Amino acid sequence: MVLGEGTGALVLGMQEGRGGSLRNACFCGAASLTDPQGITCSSPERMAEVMAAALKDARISPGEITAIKAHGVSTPAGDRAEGQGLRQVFGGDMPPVASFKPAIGHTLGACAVLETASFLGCVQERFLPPTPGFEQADPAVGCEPLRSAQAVNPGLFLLNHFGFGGNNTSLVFSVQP
Amino acid sequence: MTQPLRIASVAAFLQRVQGPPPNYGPALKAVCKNVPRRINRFIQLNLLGAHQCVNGSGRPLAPDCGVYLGSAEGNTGDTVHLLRQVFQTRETPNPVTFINSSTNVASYYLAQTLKLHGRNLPIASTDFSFEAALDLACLDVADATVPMGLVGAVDQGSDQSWVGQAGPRGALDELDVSVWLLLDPAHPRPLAEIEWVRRANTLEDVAAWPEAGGAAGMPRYLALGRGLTADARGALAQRFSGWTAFTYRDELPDFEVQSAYGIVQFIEARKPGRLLHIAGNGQGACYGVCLTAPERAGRSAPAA
Repeated sequence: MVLGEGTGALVLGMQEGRGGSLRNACFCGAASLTDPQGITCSSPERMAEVMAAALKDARISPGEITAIKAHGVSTPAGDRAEGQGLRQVFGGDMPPVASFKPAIGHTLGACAVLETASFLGCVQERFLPPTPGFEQADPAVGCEPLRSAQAVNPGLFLLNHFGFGGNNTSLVFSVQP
Repeated sequence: MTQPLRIASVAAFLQRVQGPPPNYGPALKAVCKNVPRRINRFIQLNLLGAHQCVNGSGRPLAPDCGVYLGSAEGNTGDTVHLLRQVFQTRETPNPVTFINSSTNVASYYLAQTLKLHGRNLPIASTDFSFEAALDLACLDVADATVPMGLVGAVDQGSDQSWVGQAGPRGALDELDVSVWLLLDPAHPRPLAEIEWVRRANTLEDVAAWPEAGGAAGMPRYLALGRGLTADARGALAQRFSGWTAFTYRDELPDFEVQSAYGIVQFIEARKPGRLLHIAGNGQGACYGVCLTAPERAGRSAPAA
């Protein structure tokens, strides 16, 4: 794991047709739960639970998700738990998975807002970013991040943020054409 | 908020920090059945105040009760020691020390010891951390995102190990503080009810805050917290001129999360009436919390 530093902010508004660089993005739903048994790493079941709860909050099914922004902490236990949690939610129909920490490092408390803004910015430009340095997949993870940039259409997106202390949050955004 | 939110229980723990760092282990054992090992003072403070509050409610906590922890400076527990190791002595920090320096970890231990698995939101902010935590909790409870909300304000004072290390405001804090309240909309005998929590970006915006409410003839109290200039205090006292002043911090040194302490002091004073507590950020913004405490006998007794 490589640490990074940075800062970011998202400005939310109620009116369509206004806003800045992410004006086509819309916040659709979220869930935030605690895993009281996972101080440094939650279980796959708890991660799956929060992803499913976010999809339910957004009133959509897993099959409607266009792509995923993984938390991708890049510790073996963390990535395996998230990968297995994604498998529990999406089964064999896994959407493309993007991961930002290999590019900007783990910015700890700032990573959720930075990665959300970065991911939505990429989607608005119609691409999913590659994962620098990723060479060999761990079979125990059950999925792998993108090795090269990939075109993407507007749609619905799931963004995972799993923190120290069992704080798990998943967000659902739509990006309109 | 369309309906007042019931406060089922409150607890306030304050300790002056003078001399060696206090150890709350023994006090914690008296209120918490399974005290976690290898926790720092900030985590101990969290557990101490929160468990006191929960124990006083007389009702079991819902497993998906939300936790909302406000703190001005966050988990400073071992942070000074950790930073000295990393930057001065170039030692590798103990992993437990590193983990325990995260504010999330304090609320994690709270969730673990209270067997909670719902929403858990620590908010570290110099200004309005408690008010923001309470505001979020009220929103979540009001729309049934969580069935209950455990809201706290916790900050750790400076101790001997910090000598020579001025705090963010250039002065050493003198108090360990852990203040908690439990929102339980189904509690049969609440201590008080929160009418509203509102933020105003300027003093002029305070004019829009509702003054009516509570039972007819109920006494009204105004508490002015920290972060208000003399001019702001004067303007607010004029705006709420019919209200009786409620003071609570005259004999205490300054500390950031005193709004929580003031509100709990009002509830514990068992004054039937309506309290409006206003704090500022020193730059014109204000946060108001309005609650009513009913007149009834035996309010502090646990509910059946």
